[in-house]
Amino acid sequence: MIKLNDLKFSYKKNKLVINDVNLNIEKGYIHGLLGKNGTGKTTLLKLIAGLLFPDSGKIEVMGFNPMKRQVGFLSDVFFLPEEFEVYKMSIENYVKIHSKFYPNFSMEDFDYYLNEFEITDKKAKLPSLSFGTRKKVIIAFGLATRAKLMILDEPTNSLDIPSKTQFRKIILRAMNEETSIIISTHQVRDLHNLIDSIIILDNGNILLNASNQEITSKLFFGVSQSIDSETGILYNEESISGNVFVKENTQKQESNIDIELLFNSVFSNKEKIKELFPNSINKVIK
Amino acid sequence: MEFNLIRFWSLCKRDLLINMKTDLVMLSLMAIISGMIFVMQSDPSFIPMIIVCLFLFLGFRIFTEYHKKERKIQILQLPVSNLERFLSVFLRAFIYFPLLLIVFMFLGNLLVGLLLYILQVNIDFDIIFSNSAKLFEYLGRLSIKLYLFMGVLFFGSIFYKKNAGIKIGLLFFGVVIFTAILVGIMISLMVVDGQHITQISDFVILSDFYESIIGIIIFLFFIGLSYLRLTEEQA
Repeated sequence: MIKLNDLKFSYKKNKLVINDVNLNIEKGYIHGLLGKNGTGKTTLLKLIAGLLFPDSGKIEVMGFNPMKRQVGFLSDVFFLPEEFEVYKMSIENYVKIHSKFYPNFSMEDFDYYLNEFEITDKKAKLPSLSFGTRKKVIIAFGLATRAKLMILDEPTNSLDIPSKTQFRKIILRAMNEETSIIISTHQVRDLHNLIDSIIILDNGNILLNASNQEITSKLFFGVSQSIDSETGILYNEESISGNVFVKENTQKQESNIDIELLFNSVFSNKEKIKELFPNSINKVIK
Repeated sequence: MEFNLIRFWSLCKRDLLINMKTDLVMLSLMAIISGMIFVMQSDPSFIPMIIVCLFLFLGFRIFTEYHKKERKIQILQLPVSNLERFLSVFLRAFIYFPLLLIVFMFLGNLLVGLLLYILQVNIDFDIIFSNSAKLFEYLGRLSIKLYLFMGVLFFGSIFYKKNAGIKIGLLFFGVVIFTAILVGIMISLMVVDGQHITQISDFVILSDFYESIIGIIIFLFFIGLSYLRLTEEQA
């Protein structure tokens, strides 16, 4: 669905924000894009959405070149920016004038998502709503467009705890085998039980790009009262339940991914991760 | 180039609705200000200056969605083609705004005149009507030059981001100088060819003619550049 080849991008000369990125993103999955602040997550998403143009390299999204901003491409991509400005109009009017541009827009879906987010008054003026509620409206609108590619930049920022749960629920409802969702966040806990694959960016480079299955086949996430007996530990930290740790899964044990632990272990063992996931890092698409 | 009339119409309606309140407030303010001047000023020679000033203010409303980063993302990801996106702004700048401005200025004159009459201020309605008639006359005469002026504003508002006002001012100054030099060269070439200009009125007609021709070419040049700039616009 998305192919990035030798992608480079800089805002200023000699300061690459995206540095030689090669990436292949399959359709039908929810991908989590993680990284520290300022590592290029938003830039990468904007490049995929055609909102920024690369200095060099090639981007192909659903067979389109995003730079050309063709209508067929734009109607199948929805980008939710972290910060946005709403127009001085009601929810109802916003949807009325914008839904016309999306051929697959479903008002039924929109009403369902609004309902899930407990937004009942469609006549409410967008500027009068809190930022979190505005975000929910835009998320509901984006999902109702039934775009094949949803790009969500920090979607859970400013959402309260119940809304984060609702968000996970509606994202899963919106998914089908033709859809892909990329969620960028630094609030890794919000992605728990939601994403199928994880992409970790570090200084404009892909540090890890692997499916959950691949990650758990190579890494074991465990908890132990004493980690002295454990071998091959990549990262550990104390918690109420004991020492949580990540280690190489040499015994092919089953475990569930703890995204925060994974994130920390990746950053503290970059070379080891590259060694463990040789095919997923900077995948070159021929 | 992709173009779909229904989609384009939806885009125009969207742009109209999104900007309507601000446009109307701004045009009403302009109408009142121009009305005040029109009613109180008996000398019509000030009219071209007023028209140019009002068009200059209109320049701030061109490409408004492309000035703010957050808004720009929304317009750039809207599923419309670059051509449709461009034409909707073009229509707003060169047809919608000038037409509304004329209507609002005319209404403004009448309203201010009426208000002053109600307040029993001594005013001459003849001045209002004669100034309003002059307004249309000047608009007709100035139309090509105004469009050249708007063309520069149009280009500047999409091309310049920082210190746009100063840069557009300099660009406009440059365009005026360039046009004057070209007109001068063309007229002097005519003189060399033996067609002597003996009267000032002939000179004015001739220079107006050349200015208009050059103005149209420069206008088309800036409009073309603006379109190319829009296709490269990034968020």
